[in-house]
Amino acid sequence: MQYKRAFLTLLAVILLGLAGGAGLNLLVDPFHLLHRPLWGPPRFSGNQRYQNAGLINSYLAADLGFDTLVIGTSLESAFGAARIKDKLGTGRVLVLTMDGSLPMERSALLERAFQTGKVRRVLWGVFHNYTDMESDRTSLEYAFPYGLYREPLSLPGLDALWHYLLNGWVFNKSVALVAGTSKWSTDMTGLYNWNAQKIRDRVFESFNSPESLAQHTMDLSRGKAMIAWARQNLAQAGEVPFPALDKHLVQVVQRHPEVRFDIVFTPLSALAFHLFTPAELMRQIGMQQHLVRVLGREPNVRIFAFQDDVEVTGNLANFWDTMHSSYLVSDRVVDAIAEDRHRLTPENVDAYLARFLDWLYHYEVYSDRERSLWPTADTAQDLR
Amino acid sequence: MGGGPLASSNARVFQIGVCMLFNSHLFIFLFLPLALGIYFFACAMSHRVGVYALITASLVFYACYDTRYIALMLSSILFNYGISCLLARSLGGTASLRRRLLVTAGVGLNIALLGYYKYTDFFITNVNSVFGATFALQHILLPLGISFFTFQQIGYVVDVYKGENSPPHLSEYGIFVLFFPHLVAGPIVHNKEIIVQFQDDTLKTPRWANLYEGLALFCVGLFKKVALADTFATYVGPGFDGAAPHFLLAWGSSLAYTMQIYFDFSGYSEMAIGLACMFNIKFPQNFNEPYRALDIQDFWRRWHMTLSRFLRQYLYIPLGGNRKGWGRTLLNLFITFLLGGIWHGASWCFVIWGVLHGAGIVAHRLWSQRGLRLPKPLAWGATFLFVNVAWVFFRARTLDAALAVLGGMVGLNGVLLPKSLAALAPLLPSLKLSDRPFVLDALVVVALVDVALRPWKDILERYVPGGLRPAGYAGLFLVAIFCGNKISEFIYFQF
Repeated sequence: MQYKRAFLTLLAVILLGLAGGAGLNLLVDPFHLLHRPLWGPPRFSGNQRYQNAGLINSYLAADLGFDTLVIGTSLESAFGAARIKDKLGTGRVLVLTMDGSLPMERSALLERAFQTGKVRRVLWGVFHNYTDMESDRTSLEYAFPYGLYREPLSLPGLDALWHYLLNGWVFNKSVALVAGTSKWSTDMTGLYNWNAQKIRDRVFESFNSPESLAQHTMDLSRGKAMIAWARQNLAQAGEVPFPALDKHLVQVVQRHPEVRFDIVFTPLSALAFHLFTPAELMRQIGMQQHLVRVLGREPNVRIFAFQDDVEVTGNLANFWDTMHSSYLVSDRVVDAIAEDRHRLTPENVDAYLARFLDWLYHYEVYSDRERSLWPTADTAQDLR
Repeated sequence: MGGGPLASSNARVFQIGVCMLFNSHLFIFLFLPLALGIYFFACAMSHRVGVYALITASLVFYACYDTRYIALMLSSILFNYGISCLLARSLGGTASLRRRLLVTAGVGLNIALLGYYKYTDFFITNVNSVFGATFALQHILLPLGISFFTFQQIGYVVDVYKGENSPPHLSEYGIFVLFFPHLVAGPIVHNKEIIVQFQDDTLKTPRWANLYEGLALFCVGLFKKVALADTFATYVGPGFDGAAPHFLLAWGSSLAYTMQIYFDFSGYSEMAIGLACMFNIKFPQNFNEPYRALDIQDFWRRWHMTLSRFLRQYLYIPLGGNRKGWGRTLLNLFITFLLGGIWHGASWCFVIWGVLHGAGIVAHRLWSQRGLRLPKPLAWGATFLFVNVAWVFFRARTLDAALAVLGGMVGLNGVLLPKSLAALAPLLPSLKLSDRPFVLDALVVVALVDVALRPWKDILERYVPGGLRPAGYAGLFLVAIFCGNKISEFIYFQF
């Protein structure tokens, strides 16, 4: 009898503890995976890999007018939802970018979003890791919760949900939200926009300091020979396989002819291309040729590239590292898409790349804040 | 960047499709209650139906890892059972030629199977390296648990050969090998202690005492694995997987691994023993505070005790044990530990680990023979230090990595001050600060917990009911479930 009581007590405490913890997580649901907040204003986490699953489940899937997505990495995080809606005339826009994300992660997210049946348009930033030879590469550093992007009623979906509810990390977030100590943002549209002026300015100053510019000059001189070689071998660049690009972008697009895709090669600084290895540079170039070749004639696809926008790419003062630019550059990209400028087609892609490589070969380090798109303290928007 | 290390480890939970580790939710909340319920329900119908139900559950459990080798495992069971039946029918003692041939075929084929799956690429790599050959590596996938189910079956065949056992019903033999709590990573159970329990009709109904003790033990094991082993694991990588770790990092990482492997494997063993207990099956103890050992022989009486028992019974004694003179005894001991090291894996690091322990045992024997004794603290320190250094080879992926860590431990890679000791920086101006984690704080916590729990150790380990103890075990379980932000594999699964 003593053991019976002990066993039942042990079991009861376990069950009560599980029910209590899971119950709080279910009720608060900090990442909005199951429902929008039952009370108070919604708060959103900057942890994109988790928050995006909730944005899809509880906002995109609901009848709230969302029909356009921004997909990409930190390079596209500054794309303004309101600007896209205004300029492109879309419904409400969800920015579902993920910093440092991989091709397989972005396609998993998109396929889940398509399951809602709400997506009409996608603005898709093409990051350089689409050149991966390993199509299904995963990241251990920023592991992606694939289970949260499965159909909620599937076995993996239920398994992930179970783990979500019985999760101490999620429990801590729930407690913080209930206690009112959470510092999560209440602004969904500018959620991932890096607009912390002080930090951004500090990084900008560092990237454009005299010491850094001297280093950039050295990097540039080392890259010249590679650029020259790339110019001579431009024709062959696209004649190699691009498994990650094909599987996680091309095929996704081809599976969804009902959706309109604006595929964007977001502008990088001229310096970025000098820092690639020769093989990487050729794959960057080849990827653009390949993508235009296979998707350039699809009626629901437009492809945009901005490396020839030299006012942006040539002025390092637009950037806070070799790839990340001011959010005003993102605005400029959105405007160009709205006006159908900077489009790549099968007819113009080779000429575009040849022109770009010529310019790149002759490029000298240039940083002019006065002529940059870098916001000043007066012009910076408070997107938070 | 979105998410930190915690979020990152969290995500791994959501990446796994069907995962049946003891610490997985699927196992704890679905498989285990179902298996228990079905087993006792089937036992109520008949003894045999209960055994078949448990075999089915165990096959489902194994299939969740990999279905590809189920046929191999079942073939291995049928083969060994067939050999044992033939042995049982053969007349004559161990001197009978037919029996000798049968046992040689039985043991030989088991070893060949293990050798093929586990050591083929190791063999090819070394042949290529020594003779400059270019044989292609086979990249053979290691069947999960092969080292364990092969050893157990070798023991069984040898026992039948020696006339110490006779074949039971095939289903009872099958459940002895397949019983899921020990199937993939031990403990290495002995046929005599397990089969007889499955034959006992009085053990076919649930017992409150066993359910309670089993669940309590499972909670303790789960906590050890998730809260302790996985925490130490985070300190191990920076030293072992980076280049040339500095002095404190090398020591921190090696100590962290020493703790990780203990909490991981002893936690796993306790979960396995607890699970079996819930089914009214008693498994042997596998760990007995090994890091309190005062010499290396003492260590092996406390660490992976079922492996030590197997090696003694089926390797050391057949080699001649201590019956063939002093020199031969030392040689037999050395061979036993060398082969024990190789059993753990196909790499020179495991060979060296086995050689170190073999040499340590031999040195201990020579030392003891001279009647020499160290003061207890010194004996403990020397033993712990030796074990810790040997674990470096066990953990390192390559010999170079092991030597880099050992080089760091003797100061060859310089000294950096960990961030957690930054307060000491003004006192040690010559030291630079390192941005790597340091294991000292975690070690201090474990030491304090160990010291604090020591007086209640016997009470805790006897799992006596009453008081707040059931709630305490439940607390350990809940901490493990809610704070286990990832499902990590058990270290011994790779063997």
